[in-house]
Amino acid sequence: MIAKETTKEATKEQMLEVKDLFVEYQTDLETIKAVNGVSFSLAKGETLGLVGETGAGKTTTALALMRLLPERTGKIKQGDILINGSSVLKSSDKELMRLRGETIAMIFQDPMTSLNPVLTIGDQISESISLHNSQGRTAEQIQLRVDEVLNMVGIPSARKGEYPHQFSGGMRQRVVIAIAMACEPDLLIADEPTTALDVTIQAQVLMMIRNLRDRLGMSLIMITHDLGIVAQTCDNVAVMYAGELVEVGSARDIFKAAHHHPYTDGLFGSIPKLRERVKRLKPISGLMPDPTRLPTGCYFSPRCPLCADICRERKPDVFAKDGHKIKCHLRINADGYIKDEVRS
Amino acid sequence: MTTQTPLVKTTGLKKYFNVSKKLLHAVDDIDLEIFPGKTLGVVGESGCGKSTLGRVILRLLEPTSGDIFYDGENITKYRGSRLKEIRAQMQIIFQDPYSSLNPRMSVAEIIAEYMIVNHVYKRKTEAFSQAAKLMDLVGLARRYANLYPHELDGGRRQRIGVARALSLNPSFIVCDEPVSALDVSIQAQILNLLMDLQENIGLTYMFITHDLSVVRHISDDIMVMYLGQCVERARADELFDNPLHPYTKALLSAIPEPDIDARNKEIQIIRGEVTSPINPPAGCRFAPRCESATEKCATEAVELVDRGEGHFVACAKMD
Amino acid sequence: MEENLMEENLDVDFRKQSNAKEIWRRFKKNRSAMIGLVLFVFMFAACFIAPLFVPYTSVTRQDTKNKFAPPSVAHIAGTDNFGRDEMARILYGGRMTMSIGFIAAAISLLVGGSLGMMASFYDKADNLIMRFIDILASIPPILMALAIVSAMGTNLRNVVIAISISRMPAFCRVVRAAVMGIVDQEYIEAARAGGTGDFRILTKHVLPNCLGTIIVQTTMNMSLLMLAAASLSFIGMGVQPPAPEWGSMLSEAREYMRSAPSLMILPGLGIVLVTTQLNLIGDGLRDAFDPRLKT
Repeated sequence: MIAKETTKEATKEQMLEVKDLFVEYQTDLETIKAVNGVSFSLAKGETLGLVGETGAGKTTTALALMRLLPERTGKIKQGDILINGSSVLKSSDKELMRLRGETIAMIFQDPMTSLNPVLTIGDQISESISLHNSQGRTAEQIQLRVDEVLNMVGIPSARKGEYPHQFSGGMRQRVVIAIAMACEPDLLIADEPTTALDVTIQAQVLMMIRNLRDRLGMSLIMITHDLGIVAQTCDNVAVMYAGELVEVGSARDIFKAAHHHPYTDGLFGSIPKLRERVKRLKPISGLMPDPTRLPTGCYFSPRCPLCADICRERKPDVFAKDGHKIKCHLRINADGYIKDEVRS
Repeated sequence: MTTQTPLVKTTGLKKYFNVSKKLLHAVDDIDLEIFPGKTLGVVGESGCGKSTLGRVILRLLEPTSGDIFYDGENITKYRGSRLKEIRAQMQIIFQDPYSSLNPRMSVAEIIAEYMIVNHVYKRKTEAFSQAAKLMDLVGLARRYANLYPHELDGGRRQRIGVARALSLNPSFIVCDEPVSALDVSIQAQILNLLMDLQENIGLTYMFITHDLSVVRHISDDIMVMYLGQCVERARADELFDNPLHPYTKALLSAIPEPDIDARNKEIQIIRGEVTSPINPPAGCRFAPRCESATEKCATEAVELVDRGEGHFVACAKMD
Repeated sequence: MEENLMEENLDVDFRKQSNAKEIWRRFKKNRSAMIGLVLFVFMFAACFIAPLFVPYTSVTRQDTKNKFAPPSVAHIAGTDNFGRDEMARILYGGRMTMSIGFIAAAISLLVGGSLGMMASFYDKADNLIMRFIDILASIPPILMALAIVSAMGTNLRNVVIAISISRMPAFCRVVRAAVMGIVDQEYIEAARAGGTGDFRILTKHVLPNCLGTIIVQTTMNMSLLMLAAASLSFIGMGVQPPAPEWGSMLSEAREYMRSAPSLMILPGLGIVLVTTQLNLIGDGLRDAFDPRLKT
């Protein structure tokens, strides 16, 4: 619903633009091609779902946005990342410090590892606020802000003197979100934020993230493997496979359009249906390709049920219709999908 | 169905753990019946005691009280060689395909181990050739036989776990979240494998999971657990189409559906979190989080009552 | 099942475990460990083959006219304060020091290791064994060794017993910790589910998985044990003169530190080199034992 509008509104302010991004991890032994030519953009207040399986390069893409790749091994080989119009790749260390926290914040799957076990949660939140204290808050104002942020995520501010281990998994994830929210970032990257949580708690946390997003008007990148979460939270969706975006479109495109990338079809065939009983699931055969030795041609070709000769030989172009983009040779004759010149 | 004897049956099964002089009620008074060739799905959130229940039934943990019947025999007190015999009939597939395989043993050794331990064959080579046949059965190429588990991916490792569980020709297998650690496309491969095996060999499963869509896909009957107790038990379709217990309803509505039209469906978000299973109160254990709970719910114990056609519900508000 | 269609199903021989070969292959890749091993083999061989060429009499034969002689053809490393051949004493001394280290390490490992394994495997024994070990560990090792030797008399056997007991807590704790980490793993539960008995679980599933830790701990401790033996000898409670031992040789040479420094340098160097080599080997073994680091 909202999704359709945002994609058509070209005038909407783009807060994030990723252009043809390539990321590699280089070790002495091998070079892992983690991200291979990813381009997408995100408007203010919009939610993008980044979907894919383990090893698809979702987290690497997110870390690259914040320039948080492991220093010695992770290298951005090509491409550019623009945040609010300025390139992250050219930013100085000081600008990066401001970028992380004030402009972009990130939350991870396991809340316990992102919290410091020997500091109270109040201290951890106020630390984040005083680190990015552009408004010149006094110590008292910072404490007020801590209370405010805690209330925002549904934790009584009286608990701010407690330590992470005194909270349950769901509550810890709330604390992590509170820290991320403390400086009112323009963009929140949530990397599988509910994978470690139970369903009922997941529903609570997702609801909270959605409410915060709507209230604060921030952009959100939701990294997940769960198509259910995508359907419930995202405006636009990018399906990632072996470091590439194989399909990009509005949530409605991904769930309802007549044409899809075979990998997207495979993902849908793999999940058991909740409302009806299917006799047999249709999984994708085989495994994700080894990122040190990617196949020639289309990266999905070894597992693709529709694989043709051309798929093994040439990299596919992107075909698009009304902003729904599919990177597959077989879309060449599909109705209305034309080659996306800008991208390929 | 009534004339058939259940393959696995428990009556009043309890397992308490001592936690610093208090009692943790991990499994509290569970009655269940699983018929041959069928699958009982056990659903619940972490800490509801579903894994403990599976292990108690397999006699990997000693029950505090209650009885376990296998094919009509009470196996609760079995020891030594009789226990070993019954264990060959009942197997388990673990959640974590990483920690459940001995890293120092090759794939073939892991699969052959049970057969060697139980002296199924006179010679070890026979056990190894049977292991190769099992690898064919679970769709694991024989060229992996000499590799070590860490050289394989999660899906293949889980196939090793399945092959090992099948090696003693069991009739009953407890699947303890066998697909939770796997990616969706691999998860579907393993689910299909388990269902094919059931059809071809006639296995009986107890399928423990927190994933409701998976449990509907694979189960004939479903039992919903909350804090060690069964709150609802029914045929799979009946449970999903007509959930009666408030907890089941909340669970079902909490699943994010991969359907964009369901986007604005009303989600019943239950407040709070699972309370502690240590010395739980007398009344309904879900009462502190239940929307429709009354004072009576918090103090009076609830019974699991048949609400028609084998749909059991434990809720005082049903009366 | 789908997989079979894609993957050719070759019949493969089930090879017997060739773990040792695999470990050796990985060990060879570690340069510092290999240097340590080669040097150690050389020193070990020199000390243990020495008796074939140098009679023991040259260790004790005193030549008072020829004290502190500089290196010559007759005495490659010169002579000591009694005019005894220094080289022969170094070789025989090394044999003594290393033997004490090996035997003591074996005893500590056997006793301490079994205690540790029992403690971690049987809950009921745990408290009893570990409190006993705590008591042992609360006594400074060298003090305890001293007490044992002075109570039982200073001879070689008692020295070995004394230092073995003093290192036992370390072995016990390391083995217990290693086994504890493994007993919790699901594959142990899986083994139980298949009807595996305790003995096989210990030997087939637990031990191979902590063998690496144990071997590394043993090599590292061996050097500590040699040092302990040398220290005891140094203060005169260990190996008694005239039998040569690196520690006691150091102690004797102390008086002539200024006039004949080589008498101190040679046994000192021996101790330093052997302990360093053992530590290098231990490090290399630890890496080689972990198949997850396999490349």
